[in-house]
Amino acid sequence: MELFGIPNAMTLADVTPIRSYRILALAVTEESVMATRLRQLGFVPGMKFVCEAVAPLIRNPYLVRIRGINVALSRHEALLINIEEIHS
Amino acid sequence: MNVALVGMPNVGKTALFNALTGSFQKVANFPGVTVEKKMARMSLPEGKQCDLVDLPGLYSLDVATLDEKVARDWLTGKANAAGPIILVLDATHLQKSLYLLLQMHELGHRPIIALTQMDQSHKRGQEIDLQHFEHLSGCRVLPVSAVTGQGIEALKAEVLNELSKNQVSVMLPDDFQRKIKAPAYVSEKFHTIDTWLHEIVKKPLRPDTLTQHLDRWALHPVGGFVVLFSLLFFMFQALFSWAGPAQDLIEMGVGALGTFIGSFITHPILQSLIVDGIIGGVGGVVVFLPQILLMFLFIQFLEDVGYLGRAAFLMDGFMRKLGLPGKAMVPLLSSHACAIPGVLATRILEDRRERLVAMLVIPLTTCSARLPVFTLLIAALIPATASVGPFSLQGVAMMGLYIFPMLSAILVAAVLRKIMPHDAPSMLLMELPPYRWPKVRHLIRTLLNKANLFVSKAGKVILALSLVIWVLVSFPRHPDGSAGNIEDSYAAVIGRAFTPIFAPLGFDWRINTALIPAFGAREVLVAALATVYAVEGNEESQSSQLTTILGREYSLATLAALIVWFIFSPQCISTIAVIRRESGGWGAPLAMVAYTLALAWIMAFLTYRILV
Repeated sequence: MELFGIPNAMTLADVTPIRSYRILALAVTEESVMATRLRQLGFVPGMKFVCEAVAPLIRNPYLVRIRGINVALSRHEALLINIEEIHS
Repeated sequence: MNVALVGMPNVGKTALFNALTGSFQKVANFPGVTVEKKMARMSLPEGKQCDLVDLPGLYSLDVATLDEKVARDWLTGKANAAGPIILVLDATHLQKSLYLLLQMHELGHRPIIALTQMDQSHKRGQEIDLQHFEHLSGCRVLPVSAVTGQGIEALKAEVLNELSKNQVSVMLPDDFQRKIKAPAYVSEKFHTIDTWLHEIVKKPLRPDTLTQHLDRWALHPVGGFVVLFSLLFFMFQALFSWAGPAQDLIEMGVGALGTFIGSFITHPILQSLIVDGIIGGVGGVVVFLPQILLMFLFIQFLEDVGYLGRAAFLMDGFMRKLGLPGKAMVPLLSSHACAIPGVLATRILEDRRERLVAMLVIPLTTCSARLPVFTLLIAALIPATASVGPFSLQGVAMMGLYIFPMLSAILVAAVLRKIMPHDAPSMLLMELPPYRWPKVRHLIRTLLNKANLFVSKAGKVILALSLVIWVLVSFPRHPDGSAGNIEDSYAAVIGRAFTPIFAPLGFDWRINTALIPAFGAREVLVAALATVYAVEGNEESQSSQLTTILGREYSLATLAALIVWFIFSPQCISTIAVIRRESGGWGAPLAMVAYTLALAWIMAFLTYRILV
């Protein structure tokens, strides 16, 4: 999918459980409520997180562990978060 | 001067508030425009006292919801009367909690830090260097436990100490609100937190395996729904089978009280007033106290354990198709205890229109005030001995009366979302807190509060309305003073005036007479019917036989139509008032009343037509 002007950029919607990822960019305007909530919960560029669970088939919602807390996201929000996988 | 309690969501702030103010302290709602702050007296050492304000939880001064804004305004000095601040930090979530502390520092606050969840922190092997923490933060750090009461007195002594000092004035930089939205600012704060934690935490926390294990089931795409529906099914069955014995006991007590007091009064009018009017009316409603408390207990338990957020997670896929985020399940579920906390809980929805839709459909869910009405009508319709497999048919019918209204609420919400324009896509984005065993003291306190509210309402509103109904049913009397024919009473005249509206639904004047005052509060229907039949039946009837009378007097179609009427009808003044306050105008409450009344009439009419 085309996001951030980059073809096939990986988003949080592509995560697999138990793997680790790093946030690269967020496709939200800084002033929006969604951006505020994302910042509050720790979603800023450079932050690492672990995927805990993804509902199968419809792939919604997602559960990730970020900065010591569990956060639930819908596919909608997940698509706005550009990420890369961390291979350890 | 007021002392404020602030902290992030899910850090145990309310439990600490209860521990500081005492379990039986009366909690007053803080006067405000559209917001609700909790305030109670706190006793301090040396016989001193102060007011403690429980501010809504917030993650950061960069706020997203109304509730968070209230707390933000307090910290930025927009709310006056600010005094010392207690910041509640969760020892097992320091990474998250410290953010607020750093921001408060920027404004010049030096809060007293109350460190909760220390027992969990120990259990999971974490070691915190408290002295170094105090040194870094420049604040007093006091470990407290709301369960054991440990550290509570030390915290109070520190509050007294702070009160005697001059308060620091808050410095709010001009561009502060803009600055804190920059990702670079947030990253820098996170970096500082990590540096601090590196120095303070001597041994790290082991993972919360309990939450991980439970979530494997609770959030499982199939198992999760099995858990959710089992919980609900258990709840409805328990509502009937557990509350039964307690109810029978109260019923017997009310009956005995009526007979006992009645035997002392010789004057027939006075006897009827007290036995039929007061004891019959109020007693008829008080009987349902055990069921109502059980319902509140369940909802509070699910909330305290941390399950409501899981229900939101599970339902997100389904709810999203209807145009609402799964989060909307939280207010919808809590409104099963009472619509008022449900309406207040819609504050977790960030989108204004979504919040409005949730408020409009909440009055459809089966709140505990409907329990007396439904229980009475089900008992009149279905014999207690009937069963479906191992379950009582009455219990199954009651479960239906929870599921059907819930589905109606979701359906109406979907329709409203279609009608109302909405631009911003709804978001789920929420923290799922770790599971915690609920504090028994907190549960008991909530229940005592509810019981107190219910009984005082029964003592005032229901008592007054029962008396009015008794007067209307008992007068006019014959010129010689003997009881008149009830068919000629004022109540009958008023009830008949509504015949054109309610006759198509199969309601007679008695139901109409009981229905009108029940627009104030639903449970009045039971009191009113009890009074009408107590006066009419005189000798042989007692309030306990109301189910028998209803089963004998009315057809299946009428009773079913009455149940359907009560599913939809907006019979609660308080709900209308709270929707007006929370939506900030009359538009939403009037729309709610109009559509629910129309729906109630149409659905009751259809039910009656089909069954008659």
